[in-house]
Amino acid sequence: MINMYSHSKQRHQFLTPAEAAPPWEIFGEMQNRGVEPDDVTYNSLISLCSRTLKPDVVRALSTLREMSAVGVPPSDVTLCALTQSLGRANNIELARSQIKELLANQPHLRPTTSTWRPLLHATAVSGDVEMTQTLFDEMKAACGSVP
Amino acid sequence: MLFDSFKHRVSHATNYLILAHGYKHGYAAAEKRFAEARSSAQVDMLTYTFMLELALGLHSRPGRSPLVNETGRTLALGLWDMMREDGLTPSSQFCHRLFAVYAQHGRLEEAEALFASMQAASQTMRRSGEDLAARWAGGDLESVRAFLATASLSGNSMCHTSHSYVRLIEACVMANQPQRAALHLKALQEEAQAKGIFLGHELTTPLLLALSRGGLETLDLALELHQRSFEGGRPCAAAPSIQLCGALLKQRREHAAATTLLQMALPRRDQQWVYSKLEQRLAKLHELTASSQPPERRPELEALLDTVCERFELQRPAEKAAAEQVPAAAPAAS
Repeated sequence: MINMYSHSKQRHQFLTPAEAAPPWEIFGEMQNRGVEPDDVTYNSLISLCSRTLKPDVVRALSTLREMSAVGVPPSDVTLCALTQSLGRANNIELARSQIKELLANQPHLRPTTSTWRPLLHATAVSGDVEMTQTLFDEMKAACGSVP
Repeated sequence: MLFDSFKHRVSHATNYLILAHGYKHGYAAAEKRFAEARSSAQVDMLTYTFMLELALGLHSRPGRSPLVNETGRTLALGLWDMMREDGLTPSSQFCHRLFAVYAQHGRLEEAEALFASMQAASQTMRRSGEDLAARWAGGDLESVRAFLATASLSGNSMCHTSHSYVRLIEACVMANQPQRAALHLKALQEEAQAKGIFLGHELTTPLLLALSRGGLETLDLALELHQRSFEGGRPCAAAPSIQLCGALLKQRREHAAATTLLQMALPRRDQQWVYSKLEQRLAKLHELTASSQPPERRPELEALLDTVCERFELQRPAEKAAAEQVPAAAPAAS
């Protein structure tokens, strides 16, 4: 998967559906052979959803649900990967609700500013000052304030 | 140390507020917030990157046009001066954008000087890397730690890449300096050869697109690059080859245009737009061959065009016109 990313970045940054298919096939094969996926596997797949030409939000969310269903706890990396997909899809409200839900249900989660960065970028380039400020405030509340 | 890094990361995100204000209310609004951030020492590389994005993006035609008006260029160069005052090292992407600004401002030599400093940064990084590897291989972890604590690795971000050459050559074409473009293209080819790297599509595509937009001299460079890629077994992609073919046709260089089509990579069958463009170029080539070529040269060029048609499995324009007339004529005949 990493090779696929770097290759894609050199060429045109994002993956076509055909280029994004092999990692999912490998994931299926892993499961067929009884190899248990861990958080790294799921995080890579969720991140992959943000790397396609059109971010695959539905698949990212279903992978997150599957992760919870099989008992693999999400980490701050999962949050970052998820917000990358949602930020690129400009689905800011859904991203905010997902962050809120995950932080409420997973008290062990320690979010970082990287979680909010894709969302901040999406709203900033749209010129949405109010939402950028809201996200910035939410980020400060979750991560700490600027001294 | 941990607290400091945390503080930096949070202040880093304030840059997005500056960017949002710029896009919403214009450059002056972003500049006001930028000045506030600068006075409280809360600016970093990302702040300048965003300000440059606003300076260039808000003072050029909508879209991704590289042409920036004078206000945008002055603002961009002002940011570059402020950045140096603040002691920040630019990223290579930042430098690449400045190349175009300098070129449009008639100061290409400064773009070249910036490129030279990027090359120097690469050399420094290489030396540091080799030094670190030697210490690591020696097994002296204390020495590795001491090196990491003292070595200045901040220049890493402005190392030159193959893409830096591409952007500099683009800038030379923009500044109408074909000789400088030729010099940098040669330097790129020599450096790639020294490192055993063959120039692939990721480089030949932007290079051809830039060079075929220039005048006669840069067109010759593009043609040479195209041929070299073909001879090296990595023919150029369809889009830049077709653009080059079009530029050659404008200069009435039919033979070179037909050869370009023979030397480009074969497009996939599902790339309909490529076949549509190829048909257009072929029709033009046939038209020019019939109208402007001296009679003694026509057979040679026609044979070349036949080979092009066979290569792409395309009908000759005359055959195509005849085939289109048959269905229309059929009902009348019956």
